Amino acid sequence: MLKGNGLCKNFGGVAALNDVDISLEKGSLIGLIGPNGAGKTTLFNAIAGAFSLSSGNLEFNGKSLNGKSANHICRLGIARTFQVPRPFAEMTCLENVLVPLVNRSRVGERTALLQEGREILDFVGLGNRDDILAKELNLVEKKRLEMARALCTNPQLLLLDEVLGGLNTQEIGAAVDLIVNLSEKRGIAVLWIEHVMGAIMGAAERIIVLDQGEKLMEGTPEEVAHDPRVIHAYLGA
Amino acid sequence: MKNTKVILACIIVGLFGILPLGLNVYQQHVMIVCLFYVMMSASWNLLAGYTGQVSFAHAAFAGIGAYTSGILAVKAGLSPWLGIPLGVLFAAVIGFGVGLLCLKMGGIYLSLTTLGVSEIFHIIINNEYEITRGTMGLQVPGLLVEYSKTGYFYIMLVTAIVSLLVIYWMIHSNIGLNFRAVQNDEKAAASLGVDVIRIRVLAFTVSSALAGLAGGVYGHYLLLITPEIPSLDQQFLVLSMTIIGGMGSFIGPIIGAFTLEILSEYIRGYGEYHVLVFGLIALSMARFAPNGVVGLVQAGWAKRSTS
Repeated sequence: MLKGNGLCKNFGGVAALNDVDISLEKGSLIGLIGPNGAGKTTLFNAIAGAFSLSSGNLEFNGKSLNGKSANHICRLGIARTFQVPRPFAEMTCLENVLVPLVNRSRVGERTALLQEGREILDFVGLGNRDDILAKELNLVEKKRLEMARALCTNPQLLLLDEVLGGLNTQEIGAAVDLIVNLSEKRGIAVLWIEHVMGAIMGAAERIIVLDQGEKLMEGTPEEVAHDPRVIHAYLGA
Repeated sequence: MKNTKVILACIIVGLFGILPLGLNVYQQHVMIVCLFYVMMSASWNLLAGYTGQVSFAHAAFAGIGAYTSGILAVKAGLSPWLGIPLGVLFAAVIGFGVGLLCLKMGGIYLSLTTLGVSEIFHIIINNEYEITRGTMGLQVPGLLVEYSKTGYFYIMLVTAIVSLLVIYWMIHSNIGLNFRAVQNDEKAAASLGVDVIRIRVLAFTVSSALAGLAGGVYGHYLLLITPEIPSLDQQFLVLSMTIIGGMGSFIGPIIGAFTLEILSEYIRGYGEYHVLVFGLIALSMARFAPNGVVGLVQAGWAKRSTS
């Protein structure tokens, strides 16, 4: 469903992405890893339309994403979360999820949308937080709200940017279950950046490794974990 | 809750309906000016308080409305009843343009740009003497055949109510939700499907059109349109009213407009010192009630309900 060929992004003289190819199937769960500064978030920003590519082609369900604005790409079915949560701070949690709901192409009654919003907040574990201002949530809750808002866009592809950071072991388990559930039961394709290796190696079908803007390799978690190039990129030895 | 609000609004409007009966001519004038500022503050609040675009060109848009209608009446003999809608339309078009110009800007840069736009209009009006009569002011026909304060009061009241209804509807609809999302975090809003460009320009266009409406009606009430209407003094008065009343709330600018206009009539006797009194009020509000009168009341309510 998502196809990218020869993706490049330059910031001044720095090549943040250099000739990266990517391909995702419906309902797949793909991990995206790499050392800091490898270009993972840059790739997300390019797919989600936060900025345009220097060169290369991106296609989603046969439609070109090149030059499309972020809101347009969202309506095509691609949702993202931000590495540092960006909630609408002065709005309640319910209002936060209502924003994507009312902007979806299939618009319904306000009461029905409110009901759906509450259900999704419940689903991510913010069930009793409806009327709390988003700025009053703690980090873990803010990450859940990011996830809830992204789900409210009714995505076919979900871009998750380090949703596990700052969570304890138990919370990680619950979050991983939730993500696997999304891909298996709802058929949502997930592209997932994560530094918590234990979690992503266990959950992802395949892993893409980026290093210094280039795609180092792609393979099963098993292959990736034993590849000398990956070990070298991470440890520098 | 919703019913009580509607009933309360009806009572207030009803009281305003019979208000001119108990007022003398001077007090009626003050009320008309109050209603003008209600429209100005409420429409500025729609832009600044709900989308975070702190424009300094709002008074200029009132000027565009007033001068468009005024010039059409004087030069082409057009009735103000037609001229004012044209002024509103023109203000909306210019507002749309300024909104586009400011798309990539936020915060202080947007404020500075709109300040520049405002000054450009001011300079044009001052210097195009042949058309605008410059600082002398443009004498224009009234809206009524026979001049009547009470008549103008009702015209202003109806205009203000229509403006407020438009604003109320907007901020309680999906548009208002999108306004606030854009104000809180533009990038996050875009990533969730909000058409940020459309929302920002829409806010500018509607807010400017409403300012044009207020300016047009006010100008034809005064019968003399001067560069005072699109002046920065006016702009900052509107800004103070909104902030002191409570920015980002529906009722705040209404309270602010009445409070400050009536207050300024009371302290007019102090001559130059009335600016000082104004400054002190603004200063103490900023220090002790940064969310305005509305914020103060809400905090009071919250305290009462917890204790």
